[in-house]
Amino acid sequence: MSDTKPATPPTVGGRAERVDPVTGVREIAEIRGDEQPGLCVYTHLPPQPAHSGLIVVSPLMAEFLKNYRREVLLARHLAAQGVLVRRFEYRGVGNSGGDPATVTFPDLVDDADQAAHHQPRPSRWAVLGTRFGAMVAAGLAARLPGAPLVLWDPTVDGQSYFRVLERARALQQRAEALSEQQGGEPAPTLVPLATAIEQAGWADVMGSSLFRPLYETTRPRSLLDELGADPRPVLILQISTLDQVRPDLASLHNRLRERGSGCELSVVAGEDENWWFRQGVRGFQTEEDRTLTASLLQATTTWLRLHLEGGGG
Amino acid sequence: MTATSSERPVFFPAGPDTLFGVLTAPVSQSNGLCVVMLHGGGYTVSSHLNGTTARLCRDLAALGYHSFRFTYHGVENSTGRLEEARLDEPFTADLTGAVEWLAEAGLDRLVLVGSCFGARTALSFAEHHPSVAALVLEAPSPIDMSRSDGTARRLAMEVGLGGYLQRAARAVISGKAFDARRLRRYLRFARFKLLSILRRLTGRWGKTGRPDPFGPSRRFLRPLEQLVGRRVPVFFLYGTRDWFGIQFGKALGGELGELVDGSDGLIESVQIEGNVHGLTTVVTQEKVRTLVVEWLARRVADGSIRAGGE
Repeated sequence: MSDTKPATPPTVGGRAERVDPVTGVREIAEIRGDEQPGLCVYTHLPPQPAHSGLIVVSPLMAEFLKNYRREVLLARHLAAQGVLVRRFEYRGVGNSGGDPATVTFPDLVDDADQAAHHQPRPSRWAVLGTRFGAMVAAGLAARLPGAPLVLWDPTVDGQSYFRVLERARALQQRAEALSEQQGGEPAPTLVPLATAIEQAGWADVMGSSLFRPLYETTRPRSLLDELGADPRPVLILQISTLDQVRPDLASLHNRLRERGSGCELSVVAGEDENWWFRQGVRGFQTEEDRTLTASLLQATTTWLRLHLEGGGG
Repeated sequence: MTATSSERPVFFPAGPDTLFGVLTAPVSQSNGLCVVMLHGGGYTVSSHLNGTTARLCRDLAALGYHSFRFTYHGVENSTGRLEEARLDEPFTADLTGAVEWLAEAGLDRLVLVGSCFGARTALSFAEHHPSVAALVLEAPSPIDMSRSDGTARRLAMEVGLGGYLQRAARAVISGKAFDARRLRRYLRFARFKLLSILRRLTGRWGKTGRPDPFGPSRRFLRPLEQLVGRRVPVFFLYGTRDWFGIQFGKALGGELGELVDGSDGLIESVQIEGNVHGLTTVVTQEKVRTLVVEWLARRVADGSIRAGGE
């Protein structure tokens, strides 16, 4: 398994732009050749001058693909309402340059920070982090005092994140074993995540490579530690078919309130959300038509409008 | 590490939509070919899972190819709404938009690399476009279907009548059969099973003059005939776990087999371990990447893929 190195990184540079004929929002895609590692950055620029903005901090691996379109829809929705939105793809991910085999957790926070410093830059930022991206978003928010923080179904610490990955891999293995019982190909043996990384320096997580530097620099971290003690408004949106609040999110909510942050926690219900399985259990559904997407967009927009009208960030 | 490629994002028109893509150019001398990547029929990103497509584009640039990866309407950064992909209705308008943009950029000798639905889109487009110099088709279904009726067809071909009755009884006992959404699904299963029984009872479906719902589609075979006629090389890639690969293997026993045998080696197929469909493991991704690069290099070297200006 030595042949997992990326291709020679490209020299990057270039910009593309489109203007939405209905909303007047300018959408700018840039692969920044003037900075290393050449991040792919998207800016959704409202037609009128924007004083506040949102940086979207994405998850990784299969979750990156799963949430991508939803993030684009949120960006277009908010920009049409006067909020500048910045999205980016981490180094070694998507269309950005960089070698994924060397990326560490602090690198991801630096990438988010670099995206925040691109021009145009509004006077006040809010930060949105989704799933694993929530931990990175917390690291970025710590560098933006008072910036409102929205967390979609956040990962609260590295250890629990890798437990979820392990479970997803086991489920995939079980599905393949079932197929084998029904006369299919023999299922490959599942090597535990930690063992695979220990032995080979990387592990296959549902078709994505997880390399040792990211694994080792993420495992001991927690969202709360990354965020630091600075109080700020926080919105946690748990995605679930049940009304019950997850214990880890309830605990996060309480700890943030103890620190003086005005923290709200809501359950966004209506659909199953299997983050690690790209095709939903109910088969194909246009993202624009999904109840879950509409609920997330509405809850996020309403809260942000309220909290971006203040100062700071 | 010295860079061997340069990349830039692109927005381009395709019908009523504006699609997003990334052009990768070689830093060294171009070989005059542009490899266009077509993804499958669902939500993804232009770089694809684990950056597989981005890495292939960068590999190819190091060898002198331009390449272009883009997303269909409603996907990633493209505008529009994605509807359910149907193999009998490929997104050729999106590909036409990409090809027109590339032609304006001076890139008019194309290799199409398509995955599943993207492979069927590539095949449909190539039938009518002489600018296509070669095709790489990753796990295409030879049968026309949509995502929602794919399982129904598969069950109809693999599960006996007894199995259906057992499943129906379970659905009634558990009450699931009375949920409107599930009921529609069960009715679809029943319809395809009925079609498969009729097919068996009436012998060869082809004699009825109607398209065979369980056999290779004319939309799959006809472009291949055209491409062989134009001496365009085609490379099929399947995994041992791909159901579409099994169907491809079965189809080789009929008209498709005759076409491949008479193609003078222009149609090649390779089967590797695992799933080529969806590229669900990193090992498979790497194997496919290597195979595509090697096949192109061999075909360019033997002169069966001719670059622009030749």
